Amino acid sequence: MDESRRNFVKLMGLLFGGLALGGCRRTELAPGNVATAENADVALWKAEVREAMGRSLPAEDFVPVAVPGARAKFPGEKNRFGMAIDLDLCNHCGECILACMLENNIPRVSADGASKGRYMHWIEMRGGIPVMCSQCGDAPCERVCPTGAAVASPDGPSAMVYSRCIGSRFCAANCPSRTRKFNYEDSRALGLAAKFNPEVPLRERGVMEKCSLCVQRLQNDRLRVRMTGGDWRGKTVQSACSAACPAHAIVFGNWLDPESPLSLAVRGRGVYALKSVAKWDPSVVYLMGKV
Amino acid sequence: MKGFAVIGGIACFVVALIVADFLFTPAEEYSPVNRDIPFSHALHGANIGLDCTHCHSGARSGSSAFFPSKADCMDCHRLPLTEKPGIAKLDSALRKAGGEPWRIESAFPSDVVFHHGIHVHAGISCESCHGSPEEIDRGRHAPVRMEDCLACHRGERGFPKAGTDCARCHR
Amino acid sequence: MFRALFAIGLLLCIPAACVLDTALSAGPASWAVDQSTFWGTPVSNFVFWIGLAHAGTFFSAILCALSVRWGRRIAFPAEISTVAAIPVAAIFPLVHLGIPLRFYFLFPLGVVRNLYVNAESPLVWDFVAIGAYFALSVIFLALHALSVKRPEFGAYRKPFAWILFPLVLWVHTLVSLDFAVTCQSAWHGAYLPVYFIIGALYSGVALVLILCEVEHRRIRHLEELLLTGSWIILPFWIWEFLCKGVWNPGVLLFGFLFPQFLWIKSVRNTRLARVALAFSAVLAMWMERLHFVMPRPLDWTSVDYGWLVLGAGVFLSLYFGLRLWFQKQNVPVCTPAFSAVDRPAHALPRRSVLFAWCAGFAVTLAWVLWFKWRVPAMPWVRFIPIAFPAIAFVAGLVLSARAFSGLVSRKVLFAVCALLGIVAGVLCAAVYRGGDTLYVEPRAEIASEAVPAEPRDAALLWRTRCAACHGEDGNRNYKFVREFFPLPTEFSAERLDSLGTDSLAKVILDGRNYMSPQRGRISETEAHNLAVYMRFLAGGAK
Repeated sequence: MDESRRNFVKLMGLLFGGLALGGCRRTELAPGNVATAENADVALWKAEVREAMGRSLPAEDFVPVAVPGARAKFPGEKNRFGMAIDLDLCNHCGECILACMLENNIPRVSADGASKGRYMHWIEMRGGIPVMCSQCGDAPCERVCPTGAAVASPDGPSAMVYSRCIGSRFCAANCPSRTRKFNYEDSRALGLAAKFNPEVPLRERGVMEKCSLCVQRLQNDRLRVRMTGGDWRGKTVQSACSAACPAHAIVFGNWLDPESPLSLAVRGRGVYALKSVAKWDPSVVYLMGKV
Repeated sequence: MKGFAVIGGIACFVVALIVADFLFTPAEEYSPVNRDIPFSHALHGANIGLDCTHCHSGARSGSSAFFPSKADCMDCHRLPLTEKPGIAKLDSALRKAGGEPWRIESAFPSDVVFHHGIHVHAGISCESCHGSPEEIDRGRHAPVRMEDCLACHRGERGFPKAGTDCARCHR
Repeated sequence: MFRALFAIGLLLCIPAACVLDTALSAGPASWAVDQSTFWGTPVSNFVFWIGLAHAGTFFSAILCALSVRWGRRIAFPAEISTVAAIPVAAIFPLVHLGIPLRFYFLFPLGVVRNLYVNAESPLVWDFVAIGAYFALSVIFLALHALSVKRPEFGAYRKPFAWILFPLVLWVHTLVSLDFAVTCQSAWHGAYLPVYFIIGALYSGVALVLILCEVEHRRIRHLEELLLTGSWIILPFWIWEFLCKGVWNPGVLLFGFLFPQFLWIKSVRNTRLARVALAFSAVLAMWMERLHFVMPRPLDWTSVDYGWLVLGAGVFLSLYFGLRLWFQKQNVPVCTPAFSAVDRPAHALPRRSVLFAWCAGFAVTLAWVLWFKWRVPAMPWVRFIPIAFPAIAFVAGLVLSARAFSGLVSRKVLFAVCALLGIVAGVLCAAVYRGGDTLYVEPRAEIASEAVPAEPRDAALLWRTRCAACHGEDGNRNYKFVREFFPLPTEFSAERLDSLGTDSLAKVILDGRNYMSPQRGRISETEAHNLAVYMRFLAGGAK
């Protein structure tokens, strides 16, 4: 009797451990069904953008802020990239969302994920206004990331290192503007991911992601300019959303370069930021009216 | 008495740490890329007046260094080059090879940016990472572990310091 | 009774294993979270269970440290419940991670890639503090159990209790800081640490009351404490309502109103009623944690409900498993009277206690200095949250090493020390080296250069494709061509002009004599540009 009970306990232990280990198996290592730019059906992505825009999220509050300048964290840094979204020009079409998805290989979500609001879009229409990560100069998300996967980079974007992310979602819980997106689904295995842009890696299930300010474009341009030995100010870089905006409402540029289209665009304009992130020195601002 | 045991334990800890660290350190990789074609970097190098770029067309300017295609090899090898005995074997090996005999998997994961050109531009020779042609023939791979990248970028390997912020190399 | 509860616990472990399997294989998508509520039920369950663990330490360590006599009677069940509840609590944050296998990134050690944990993050503080808390709680329980047969171990209880006393308050403060340091206004408040500690004690008192009733012991102090607790926590709920508009009728009903029945003598003298009222307090605290973590309710999945089974199953099987095991070892778990255990014959020399604390300080200081050296940007103040658990951990280890070293012979002592050293060394080295990064997608293949859409720079192209024979300056690479090839024709401005760029481009693409055709490797535009570049190299007026 005693012996049999002990065996039962052992059996239970084995079962328990086996199930737990089985759960740890890494499904994402299985070859997934990833479409490429040639064979992906962009119409599906377009449909998802329309679907997400139909949700009518509440509008954000805006407060006037100063024009972003050099960051205290990186003295002597010559570049700080950012964007300005001209709300007087924006016609709420949502082209930026699609362009962002295609540029950054953002996966679609399953029907279940969509019903639970787990869209991966880095840009969201909140009250008809495109909202993305503000790339705060003193970002609250970076402070709480336990592993340093969310980390400031000197030239502007608040970077996200996917291979360092453990998925604690602390950054997202601490993001005042709620613009971080968590990979709830294994989009490769579900066939929802497509590699439109070979320059951008696909993300695995369980990591956080967010607007990267098209860091790949910045990196490529930097390498190109440095190869010719020039001083890099990122003059020819444009983010995907900015390039795609039919109303030219999104201006990308370098806040520390007075010649940059961004510095020219904010001249004489009212500069606003999302109220939630205004005190964290955002690099992405909104323009309304004249001063 | 107890003190000795504790000191012994600490000594074991240190020894185990060092030994385990040594064991866990991945060995430098040696694996010849393609054994079908008897290719020797040593024979094709500076002694016959060829630069790495003549076969690795991106090595000094591009992101990827690239490998020569069969057509690139045949530019020179379509004529019998010498009367040495091995040449017939080489010719037949080349004839049998596919269009791209040296296709390898990139050492870098997809989220890492590496640009050969920018490193050459900064004054780093091919040999600094890849070793001498003889070493390459033995199958030595360039060390592309992140700790090696970082050590060099921090200025610990005798080259000028470079950026170490994550977004410099990761995307 | 114990066996039945143990069996129930084990039975519950079967569905619990299924829940865990679902949660791990489907990831966070399997419970109620979305793109604006990122922390779901695992976090609230974690806060709840670590709170339950807290009370166990309160009744054993804190009452022992403060020499409260009645605490000794329930110290054993309380200690076992702590040791059983911390693993339950630890499961939740690990499951919560998007990639649980990367949990070792949280070790506050350096790694070879020079990546360090962000000591600014409360999650790292939690990891360190809960690790230390669990280790010390296990040792504390072991010391207690051993002191039954070897009274000299009783001397270690009080110094150890003084290590655990601040640590347990520290741990729950850090748990509250997980929330308080964020930008979410619903989680703000300087009172949060106290609120969390009070809440933890309140739920823990209720749990210990239930566990004592299972032992057929009625401790009136616990009933008094439960009532007092309900009145202490009430102002916090009122404050939450006034400041943030948090309104939780269920919590008030179960957590405040129902326990008031203990005022009625007939109710309080009924065993079942006591258990039910204590359970209602536990339930209220669980609801309160849930509401605190997830103010916006989401649709629950089966996994969300499954956490209840998981928590109950693992706790019951661990608690009653340990309880039965101690019984088998003839350890009196719940004695009606004070035993010799509680009156150690002689106190531990003050010198050795001081030495333990000093060792803790020294090791922690060394670690902080090393960390600060590697990560100079980290402000000193950020080390404080981890510093105390680290000190406590080392001090506790030193004390326990002293205690246990008397148990074994010299040979065994040396062997154990060596073994522990080797295991610790290998673990540290493993964390230091880290595992391979698991890649999401296959790595790119590298072969020969494809013809790009944009024409490449002609000078660069010349240097890579042509200079081997024709020379960098167009003046032939003698060293190469002399040995193997018939010399290419020399450039001259007249000759190139007479041929013209179009026919030169054709030669480049299709070859001639010894010149190999470059079609497929060079585009027509590039060939044309190369012809122009050749003309430039040849020099002279056109």
